Amino acid sequence: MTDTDFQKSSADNEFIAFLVNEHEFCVDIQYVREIRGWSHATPLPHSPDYVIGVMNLRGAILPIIDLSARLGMSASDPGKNHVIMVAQVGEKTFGILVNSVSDIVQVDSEQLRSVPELNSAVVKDFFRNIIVMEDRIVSEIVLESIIPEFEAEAA
Amino acid sequence: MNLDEIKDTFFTECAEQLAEVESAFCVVQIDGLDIENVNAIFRAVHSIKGGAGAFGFSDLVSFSHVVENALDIVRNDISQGTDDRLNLLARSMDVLSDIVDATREDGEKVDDAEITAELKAMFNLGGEDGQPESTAVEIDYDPVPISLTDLDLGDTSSGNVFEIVFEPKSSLYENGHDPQRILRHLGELGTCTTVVDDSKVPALDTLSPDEAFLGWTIKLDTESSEEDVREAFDWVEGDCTLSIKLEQPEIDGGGDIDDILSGLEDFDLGEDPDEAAPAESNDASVEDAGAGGKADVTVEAVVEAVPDEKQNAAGKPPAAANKDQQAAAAKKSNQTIRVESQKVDRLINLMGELVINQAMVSEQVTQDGFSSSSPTALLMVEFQNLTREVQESVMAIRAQPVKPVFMRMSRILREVCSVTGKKAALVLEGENTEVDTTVIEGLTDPLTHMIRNSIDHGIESPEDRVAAGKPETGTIKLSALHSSGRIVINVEDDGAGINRERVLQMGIEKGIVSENADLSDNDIDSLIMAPGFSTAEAVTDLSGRGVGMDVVRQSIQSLGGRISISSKPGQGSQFSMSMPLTLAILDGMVVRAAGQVFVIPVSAVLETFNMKPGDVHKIGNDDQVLKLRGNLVPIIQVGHQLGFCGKQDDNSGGTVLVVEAGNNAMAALLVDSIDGQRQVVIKSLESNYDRVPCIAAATIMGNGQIALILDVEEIIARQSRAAAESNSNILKMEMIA
Repeated sequence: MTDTDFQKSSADNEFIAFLVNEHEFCVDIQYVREIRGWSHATPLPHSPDYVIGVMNLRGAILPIIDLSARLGMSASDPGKNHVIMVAQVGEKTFGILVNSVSDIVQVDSEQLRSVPELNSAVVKDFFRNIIVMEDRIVSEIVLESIIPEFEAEAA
Repeated sequence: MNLDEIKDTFFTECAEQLAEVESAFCVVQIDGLDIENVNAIFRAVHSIKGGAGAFGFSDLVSFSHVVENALDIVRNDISQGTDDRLNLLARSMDVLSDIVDATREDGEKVDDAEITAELKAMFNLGGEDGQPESTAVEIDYDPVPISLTDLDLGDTSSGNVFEIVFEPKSSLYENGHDPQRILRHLGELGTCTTVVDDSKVPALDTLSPDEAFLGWTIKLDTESSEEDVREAFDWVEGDCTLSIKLEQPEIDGGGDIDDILSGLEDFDLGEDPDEAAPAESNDASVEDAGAGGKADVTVEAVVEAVPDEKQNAAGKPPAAANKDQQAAAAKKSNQTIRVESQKVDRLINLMGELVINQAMVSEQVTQDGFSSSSPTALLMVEFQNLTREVQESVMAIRAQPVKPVFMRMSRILREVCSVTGKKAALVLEGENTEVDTTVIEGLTDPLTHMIRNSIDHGIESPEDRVAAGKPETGTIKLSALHSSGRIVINVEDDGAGINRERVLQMGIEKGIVSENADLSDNDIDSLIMAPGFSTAEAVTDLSGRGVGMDVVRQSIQSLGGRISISSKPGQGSQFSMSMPLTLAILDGMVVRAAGQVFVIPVSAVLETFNMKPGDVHKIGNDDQVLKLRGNLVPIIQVGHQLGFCGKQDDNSGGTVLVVEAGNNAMAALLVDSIDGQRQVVIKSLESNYDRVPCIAAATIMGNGQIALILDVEEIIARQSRAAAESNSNILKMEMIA
């Protein structure tokens, strides 16, 4: 009992931190399935500019999202210096293109700060928490908002 | 294994038996009645009865018993199988299948009184029905299922229990007899508990292939006399050691597990011997029950030893034995196992990975400087061929021919004809077209309703048809074909066609369309698929059973399909459904455009063409057409259409694929080059992403990269103005809806 409690609490506050254009972000580690190197992605016609294309992940079609473009920064020119974080949200699995994965951070609850009231829509839509560490500040990305919104179209 | 699992096995078996019955009826309908098919049907019903008895499913037992009796009459004298009787039997099978379903779901009891009475009347069964347990149930209609022991008491108190020891000599086999047939005959006389005695089988190295070593001890619970039982052995009397003893009828029935086992064995004996699955389940249950004695050699031993006991006992190499099994399997047309489709999907995905991985290894081998004649390279070739073969076999599992569904329709047709008094024949075309199993499963209901509709509303009565100068028997054509990477299924009848006046009037009455709406013929035809539309006054008792056309439309749409109607008054109607082949295999033309690789379904391609300067003509400012044997075909620049590159002005000298979409629209797709033709596995983009305009699906190429499969129909539709019109039609439809 104590064991599972411990695991649960630690898993709740474990994040994978990564770099996009020298900015550090993180996501909840529960969503991340694997991290793999960049390989060719096939572009999709008539898709949003932050969708780079689709990659083959062991026989499954994996859409790749350029996080830099998604967050309103410049579009990446994907290459060997990039890595793909494979994440799963609900039924959908997709890849997120980032510059590099820096580390896994374990965070106490008191280090989590809610997002301050800022004017930027990007911040409101995509960030959930701000993690304050001794020497850096890392923003947690809300993966659900990163993926393109199909539901609205479908309905 | 617990009782529930054994029950599951039983119901799976039932489904297979019923499928067998259906296909046998189909053959009977086409080729006429023959004893083999009647036997097949009889065996299936008998097996169901046997299994049901063991579980105490009294409804199922009593009804299948009546059906069995009826079948027995036809089996004994084939001339007794008149059309009326066959029709009734076919209908009984429906009821039987309903009862099986109800039993499995613990659902409401199916009312079989009427059809039972009909069966009894038509086959004069009343007096012959000797089994007390079934008559009792029929008289009382006691909804409480009779428990196993009760059932057994009923059985044993009336019948005799024989202990038969049967040991064939080698001469029995030399004279061409088969113990299996004898055992099966016994199985038909009553409930058998068969135990094989393999104690005489020597070690493999001292075993002589010409001798017989196996014997059987059969406990037969039957109403037949000893004489009848002895009759089974008439032909082999000199060729075996035989003792038949009459035992005292057991009063207490011997415990539930034994009963279940004996029932299941009975169930098996009616089967072809090469079905291992049920045999295994029996084995497991024996172990669970901890039954001692000879339990380790129950049905499985019988099952395997019976067909070619001599050869197998002789330690025949597995491959040869396998061949025999295959031959046996071929005899039985519909040998299947049930596997969750998820497991197959996973297998297919892994297989794709393996192929890609194999290609990479192969490339590495070449890079590492192995010459193409080196042993390593030669092994690689072998590896490659093997991988291909495995891949093809795995793919073949997921894609299934539509035949089973089509076959079922011929039964529906019979049924509807017999109720309406109309005459119609079903013509099947392209029934071997392969589609993904999920599509097949989803097709059954809509097709059933459409066939019913076609006869009920489409085909005229025989008198009307003759009066209209048509043959008395109507024709319903059911066809399937691959077209533009989709499967198209057509249901065509040569009946009266849609009565537009009435349909429009109904539509106005139901408030589906406004009175002054200006609708084309096509729009009116489409009205019958609008929700809430039903030509109620014309609805017979048949349609009450089915679903409305709007439900048909919905179920087709849920498969990602479209449905369209065309109808000519007095000549008939055609319903055309086009569905994607998700997960099916596709013959694709691999092309390049704007630096990307695309796949175009070969079925959509009419021809490929290298254009010369005189072939391209500019029309207006922007559009180019290809002059092809006097026809003007619009040129669509694939790269531009997909938004990957700008429009090119000079296209003379380019390569085009002339493609055709479902609605006869043609276009010339301009690409950079054609790489060749290959089979590709269709992968869904929707599972992780969403539908992409102009793209039907994706596939994985040999180098591990993804190529997109173009939706030719949509590409043409996007381009042409006709598309705009049809779009507005669809919109109109939706507004109506």
